[in-house]
Amino acid sequence: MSFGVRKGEAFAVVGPNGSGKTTLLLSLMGLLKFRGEIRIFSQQLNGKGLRELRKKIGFVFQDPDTRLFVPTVGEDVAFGPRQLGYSGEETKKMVKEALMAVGMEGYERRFTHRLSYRENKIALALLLF
Amino acid sequence: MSHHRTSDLADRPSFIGRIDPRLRFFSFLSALVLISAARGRFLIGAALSLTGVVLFSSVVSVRFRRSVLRALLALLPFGAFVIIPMSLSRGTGGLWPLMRGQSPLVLIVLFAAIMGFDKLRGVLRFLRIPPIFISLLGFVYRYFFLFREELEKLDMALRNRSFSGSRLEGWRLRALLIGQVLLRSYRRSEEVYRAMVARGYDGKAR
Repeated sequence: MSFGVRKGEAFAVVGPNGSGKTTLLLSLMGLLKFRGEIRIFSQQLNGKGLRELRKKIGFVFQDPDTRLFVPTVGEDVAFGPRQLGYSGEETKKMVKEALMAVGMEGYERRFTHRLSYRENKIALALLLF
Repeated sequence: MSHHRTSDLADRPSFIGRIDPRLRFFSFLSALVLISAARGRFLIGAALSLTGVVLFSSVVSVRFRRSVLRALLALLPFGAFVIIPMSLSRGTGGLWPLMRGQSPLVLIVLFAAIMGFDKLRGVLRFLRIPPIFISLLGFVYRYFFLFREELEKLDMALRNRSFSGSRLEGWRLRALLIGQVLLRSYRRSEEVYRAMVARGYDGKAR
């Protein structure tokens, strides 16, 4: 498989079940081993620099119980920034802004397990920082 | 006990609910240590009763109290399973060893019921408990209810397909069901790990 995606382009991968769509995406995130070459933002994907890469790329998992793995909404949105080294104050600010962006301000203390299907749009908030 | 009740009702105004969570935690811990170390049945019984009454009176809703009682009753057989053989092997009979052994567990359940999971974790952070343990506690809480729901769904699917075999066959199928849930849990744990790594997790809990 060989393809390129330019800046500003919306790119869709479609295919039947088992055709390798998820495998491809997981490989692009550096979560699976692969053969061949992957370049993202002009840098070769080779195990180094993955941390910086993950600051730029967001991946939304299909199953809400997989993508929301921390007890409360606020903590879940804060998980990414914390892991990537942002300070407590910066993280708080990012969480607030991300939740506002998806119209879910005030949801910080809600338990992720109690979210409705519609409320699962906080998955987008997980990527908005 | 449904997490809906623990999360909503633990924060309701009550005598103990108004006390700072850190003070609550330390008071409870001190009471537990004193009760465990005390000698004399009367003294221990009085201290336990007082602590239990104070804690239980903070559980404001009647429905919640029933849930707490059910949880406590479910706890008894496990404690008895451990304590009775120990007390028999030492030659000490009667219910006293069982009561003495079970009481701290009962108090812990009551305390957890009124504390609220969020506040409990806040206190653990205040105590500078290593983040990895607090994270693990969070995962256990998050996925315990999911695990239970999956079991219930599979059980419902089994009943929906009008299974009407023998009792032995029923137990066999339920054992297979539990095996299914464990396999699914293992698979989910791998997916959750990938989700964590995708969001920058590098092995250190922060």
